[in-house]
This record gives sequence, structure tokens and C-alpha cells, in this order.
Amino acid sequence: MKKNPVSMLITFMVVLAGVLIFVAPLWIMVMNSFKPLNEIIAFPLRFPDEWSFDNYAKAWEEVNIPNIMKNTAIVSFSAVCGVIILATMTAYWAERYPTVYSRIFSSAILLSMLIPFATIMIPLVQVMKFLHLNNTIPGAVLAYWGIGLAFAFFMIRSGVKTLPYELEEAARIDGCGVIQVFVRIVFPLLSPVVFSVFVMDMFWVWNDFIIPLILLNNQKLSTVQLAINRLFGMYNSRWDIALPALTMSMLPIIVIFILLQKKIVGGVMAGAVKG
Amino acid sequence: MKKKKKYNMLWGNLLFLGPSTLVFLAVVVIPFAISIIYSFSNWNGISNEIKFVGLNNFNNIFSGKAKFLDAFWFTLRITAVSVLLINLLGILLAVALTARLPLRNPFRAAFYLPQTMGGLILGFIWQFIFIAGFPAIGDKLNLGFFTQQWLGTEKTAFAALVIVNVWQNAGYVMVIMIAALSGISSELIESAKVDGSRPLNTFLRIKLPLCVPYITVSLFWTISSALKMFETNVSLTKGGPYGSTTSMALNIYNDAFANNKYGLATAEALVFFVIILAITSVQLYMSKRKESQIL
Repeated sequence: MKKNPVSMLITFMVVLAGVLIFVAPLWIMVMNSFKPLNEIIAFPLRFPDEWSFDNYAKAWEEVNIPNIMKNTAIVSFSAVCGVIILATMTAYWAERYPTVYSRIFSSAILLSMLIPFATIMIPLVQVMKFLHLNNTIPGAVLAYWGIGLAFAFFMIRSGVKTLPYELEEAARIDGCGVIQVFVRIVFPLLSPVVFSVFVMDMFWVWNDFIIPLILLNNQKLSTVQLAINRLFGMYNSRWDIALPALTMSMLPIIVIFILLQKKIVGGVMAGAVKG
Repeated sequence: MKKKKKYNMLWGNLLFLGPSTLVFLAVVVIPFAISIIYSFSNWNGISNEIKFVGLNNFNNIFSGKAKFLDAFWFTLRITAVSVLLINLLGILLAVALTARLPLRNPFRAAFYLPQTMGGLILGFIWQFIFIAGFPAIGDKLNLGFFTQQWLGTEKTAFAALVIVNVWQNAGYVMVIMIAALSGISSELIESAKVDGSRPLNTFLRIKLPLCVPYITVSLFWTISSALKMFETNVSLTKGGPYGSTTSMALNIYNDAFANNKYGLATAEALVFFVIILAITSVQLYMSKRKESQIL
């Protein structure tokens, strides 16, 4: 479409203003995280006189950043890998070898997408107590496996549908067992969709608050979200500690987002088209 | 041969479906079933004694004795307002950012950025903006409107939550709508132009109707995520002032884990489930009809 330069310029300026408004909250947070507390409260919109990292050192100690990052990384990685392994196996089998059971099971998985987490969270704590997994990392990971199964299954099954069956048949004739076909042929061929799911679920688990809140009530096992929540509970209005802690907690996510931008947006679009 | 195949199927089912079945039972099916049982009891979550009280919990919910109805109306209001604004802004952004603007891709990324962060953290960032940032802007520009106590009154706390919801989710709708708009064949638009259709007319009469399936997806997603609001609620307003901004999910959480009313909370959770189920199925049904009318 041809557009005249004036209307183009106006659009550009309007969008630019929008971008600035959208990014402003983050910018205000980062800027203030470098200032002493009295300056934050008196002049929240002003640049710091000097950029000091004192607040960061305090927050690093107070929140124990290395520990919460480690916990969150362990939980997210094991949760997402487990979800993907379970969902790929289920999706592959349900698509290639449909039986009465696999049909019932896959529709049950899809129906579970309609159950809000709040509906099952209360008894879930009891189930975890019964399994002796309450307040342990494996307990939280197990919960993510169950909750994350639906979305991953849904995405990966549509990936399996596009795979040519001939390849698997050829491998079978060459003497591969079912497991070998799955591990050596199907899984590698699914890697694009698996990667998409991996990235999206990683963001979900990393940012999730409610599962750690009810299943990881041990301060040593705090994830990023839990630690930030506890910090705000303890020091209301200690913005000189809270703002650097918030900034640090977001940093990994923002870096990954910038690196994987196309992948993430592509995944969202794929999800929308299939929905 | 036939026998061998059957044998294989059994092991295959066990191996490929067994683990997910166990996980699914433990995390979704059994808790859901227990939820139904608890909802007829007055269990407090601690004692070993469970007394069954019939429909008492549901009675309390629907008679307004429990706070759940208030939470329901609040959630409904905030969902209506936010979903409308999120989708309008998202569509506008998508239209602006499918034009050939310089810096188009970084701009898209900037609008999508809040979507990648957790609701809890976004709420805390905005807590700072509402407590310190907005009043400072008000002082600077001499706008009394900005200097009020945003999180202190019912109306402004509601507005604050709407602002955060829109900020967080407009980028999602934008991405979906960009996909929709760029999927429209340029020949169609060209021919409309040749026939003398003005840009606004082309947008309203051709582009927008073609986007309906995508708009459905984004409505579906924005409505169901607004109904489930929890994290931003916890971090921004804590349900206050005076419980006026307590969402359904936060209300259930409070009743279960802060007030130790497991029985009542599971009953509320079931009502919550039915509400979401009803709204999403109505939506799915209507969207199916709309789509078949257009396609």
C-alpha cells in the first residue's frame, strides 16, 4: 500500500509515544533501583545523581539471588523437560496407534484445559502430602507435569499429524523397534514444535507463582516469584531493596526474550491458529 | 502374528500412555474428584474429622453469606472492561504495526514485552508506579487527577487493575492480529481499492470480517485469563481496599489457605469451574456459528 509520508510520520510518532508509555514503568523501575531510598521517594522521575550499585549488593544478599535463581532454574527445567517427554509419548501413541483407551485419555487431557487451577489446588496439596512430596521440589515439578500436559499434548499432536508415516514404516522394516523409531526418528523430526513448546512452557513455569505458593512453602526452596512476594511482605516500602530485586529477577527473562523473540512470537501465533 | 501385535499394543500402551496417565490422575483427576467430596463438608484443613454438611456451603455461597458473590461480580466487571480495552488496543497496535514503519520489529517486541513477565512481578512494579510514579507525574504536570491515592479507593484500585491488565495483555492480541492481518491476500485488498473502496471502508468491510476467527481466539484467551485473575491481584491490591477488588481465584485461595475453610473453598472452586465452563462453552458455540456464517 502506498502511503503519503505525512500520515506515515504521524503514525510513527503516535506508535513511538505508545512504545515510550509502554516501556516507562520498566524504565522507572530500573532507574530508581540505582538511587538511595530518600531520593526514590522524593523524586521518582529524576535520573540518579550517580549510578550506584549499593542497592543491588543489598538486595543480592537479602533475597539470596543465586539460590532463588538456582531453584527456579531446576524447577523450570525439570518441569518443562518432563512435560515434553510425557506429552510427546502420549501424543505420538494416541495419533499413531489409536485405541479406545488412548481416545478417552486424550479427550480427558483436552477437557482438563477447561479446569482452572484454583479448582484443583486445594486437594492437590493433600495429594502431595499423601505422596510425601509436599514442600519438595519434585512435588512442584510433578504438579507442573500434570498441569502442563494439556497444552503440550495439543501442540505436539498437531506436529505428529504432519510427519510422514513412510519414514517410520521404513525404519520398522529395517528392524527398529517401536521405542527406537520414537527416539531416533519421531522425536528428532518433532524438534521444531518441541522447541516452541519448550520455550513457551519455560516462560510459563519461570513466571508461575501459584504452584510454588501452595507446594513449596520452604524458604530454602523459594523460587524467584515466591522470594519476591516474601520480600514485599517483609519490607513494605523499602523500595531501595525491592526495585533492584525486581530488576534482577526480570533480567534472565528479558535476555531470553530478546534472544528468542521470533521463536516466542511464532509459537504464540501457531497456538492461536490451532486454537 | 496377530497375537504378537496385541502383545505389543499392551506394552506400547503401558509404556507410552502409562506414565502420563499416572501423572494426570495424581495431579488433575484425583484432586478434582476430592474437590467434589470436600465441597459437601465443613473440613478446616487441619483436623482429621470431616463432617458432611450437605449443600450448606453452596447455600452460603448463593445466599451471599460467603464473600464469593462479591468476588464474582468484581471479576465479571473487571473482565468486561479489560477485555474490551485489551482487544481494542491490541487491534489498533496490530493495524499500526503492519504498516511499513521504520523500527517496526523492535516496536512490536516492546509491546509484547510485558507479556513475557509474570503477573506477580508486574503487579509489584506497578505498585511502585501507582504509589510513587503517578503522584510525581501529577506534581510535575500539575494534574491533580494523577496525585490521588490510586490503591486506596475502590474505584481507583479497580482502574489500576484494568491499567495493568491492558498493559500486560495488549501485546498478545497485537501478535495474534498481526498474524491475522498479514494472512489476508493482497490481491483482495488491491481489487477493493480498484473498486474505489477507501482504506477505512476496506478495513471495516473486508479485513475485519476476515479476522473474525483470530479475534475469536484472542477474545477466548483474554476472557478466560481475566476470569482467572490471581497474581496481579495478589501483588497490586491484595484484594483491597476492604475486599472490593478480590477476584474469584484470590477469594478461593484466601478461604482455603488463610481462613482454613477448605470445605467452603472447594465448593467455591467448583462454582468457579462451572462459571468458566459456561462462559467458555457459550463463547465456543457462538464463535463456531460466526465462523461458519462467514467462511
